[in-house]
Amino acid sequence: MTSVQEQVEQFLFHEVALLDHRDWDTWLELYADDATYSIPQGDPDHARKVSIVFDDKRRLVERVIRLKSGFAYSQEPSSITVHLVGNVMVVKADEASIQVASSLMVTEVRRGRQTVYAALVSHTLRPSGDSFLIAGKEIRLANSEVPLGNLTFIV
Amino acid sequence: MALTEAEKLITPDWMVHGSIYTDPDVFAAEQDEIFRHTWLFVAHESQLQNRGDYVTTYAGTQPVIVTRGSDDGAYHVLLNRCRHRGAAVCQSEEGNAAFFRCAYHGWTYTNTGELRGITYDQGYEGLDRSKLGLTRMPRVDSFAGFVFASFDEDGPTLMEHLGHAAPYLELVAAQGPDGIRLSAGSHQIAYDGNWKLQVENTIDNYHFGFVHRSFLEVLADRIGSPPPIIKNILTNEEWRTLDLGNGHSVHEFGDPKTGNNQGQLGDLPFNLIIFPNLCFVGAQLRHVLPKAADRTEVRLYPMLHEGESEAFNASILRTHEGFYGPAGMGGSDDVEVAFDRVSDGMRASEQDWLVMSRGLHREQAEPDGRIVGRADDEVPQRAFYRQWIRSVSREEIVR
Repeated sequence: MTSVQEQVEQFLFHEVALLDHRDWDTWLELYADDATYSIPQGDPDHARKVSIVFDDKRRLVERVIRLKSGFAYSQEPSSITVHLVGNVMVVKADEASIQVASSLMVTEVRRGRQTVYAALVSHTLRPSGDSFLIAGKEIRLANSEVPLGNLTFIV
Repeated sequence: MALTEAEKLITPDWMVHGSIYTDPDVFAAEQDEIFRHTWLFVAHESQLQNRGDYVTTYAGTQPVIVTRGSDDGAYHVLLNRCRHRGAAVCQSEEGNAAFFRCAYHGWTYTNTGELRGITYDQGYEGLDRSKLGLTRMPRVDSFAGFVFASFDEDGPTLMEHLGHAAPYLELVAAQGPDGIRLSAGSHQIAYDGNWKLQVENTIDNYHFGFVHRSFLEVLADRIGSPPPIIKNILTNEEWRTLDLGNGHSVHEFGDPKTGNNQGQLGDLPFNLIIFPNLCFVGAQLRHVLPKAADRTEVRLYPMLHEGESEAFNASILRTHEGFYGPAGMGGSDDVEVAFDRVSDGMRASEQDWLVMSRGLHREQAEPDGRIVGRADDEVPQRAFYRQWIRSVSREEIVR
């Protein structure tokens, strides 16, 4: 029987593989209906501070509608990405949810330029069948507080 | 810039030369003739509520510290450069401090700019401390909570500069029941293109249905029917562009007190450009920071409503995030098309002219000097460049 650690790692690897293959519809299915997905600037305080991204499920759906529309010029052509997930640690686990910390490095190529993003990521996973649903994902980009270019691929 | 050179950059029938966006000499002339003479936005008073509060920003390309003096409570705009050997004395974007102490050799300045302490000062003879304070921008003034400064000791007052734009700033300031505040931080974007591309794109209804087509599809899915914004742009006569004089312009979505862009972009009833680099759109204050002819940074500050609930203000943030910022579903397409693709395209310079005459034949001059056009006309672009060419040439060129 695989350990929680192994299950969680495989799930995180699966998520970023879907993003690297731009299989956004399958990616969306990983998210619970009440999920939040955020890229804060500095310490998160979504009620009072502007975030780069603070999406509910509905807005994630909208992002996918946009990306698939054929008119999302900032993703025409699409970013080519390679996501690397490491340092996966189960921070807290009970019957209802698992808190996971990981480190993320994304190499993005677009418009003839290669850009590297690094982030500390926190997932809140909810056991669902023999896998998980994502109830929350917070991406703390190392460069969230410096001027950024185009972050319209899904980090 | 010599008058004869400036005159060649914009033709009487409104062809604009590409070098305006690409030539480092034009950029240098703009810094000398526009940014070192006109009034520049530096802060909003909600960022400086207490004595000693400060923010750092840029006046043109020059880094400045905007402070509220500990003793006088007045606004001061100080160049962020130690007078000794040039190090920036303040490293934070905001804070509260009575003094700024240079880390290099320990020279210390008050938050109104006086040189208070020179370390081991027996090493100097006859040094006049009174002349070695942090360099001050000589004129600082505020209107409706917006703090402006000028490097020029003379010239028009802030009110003379704002002119017909002043009532719109008052309307921005009255968005919340008790005013507005810039306490939510800002989005910061950067692109390899000219700063004027961002200013011009702030009021350009002509582009909306093209560049933002993917957002319109999102909007259609959100509201279950075709979004009304494009029809309004093309046919609603109450949606109009105005040249307000002195380079300022506005687009009104109907009544400037109650209008709505109908695009779920934020609730400001108009888009406003204050010459040269302050803009208002959606629910944001947009500060455009020129860095080089081909490099620009932009700070987008969501304006929260003073006197409204936290939940109300959070909804302002969520609406803003949906369209704007580096991951926004609209602003990112402006960066891609209106800045990056334009900058790429202008490298093809055989016919180095842009057409900025849209609506020239149908714009109407008002008796008070304002010029009124349709929503999708290039009235705001011409308003900007009328002042631009007057400023860079220091002559009254009529276009």
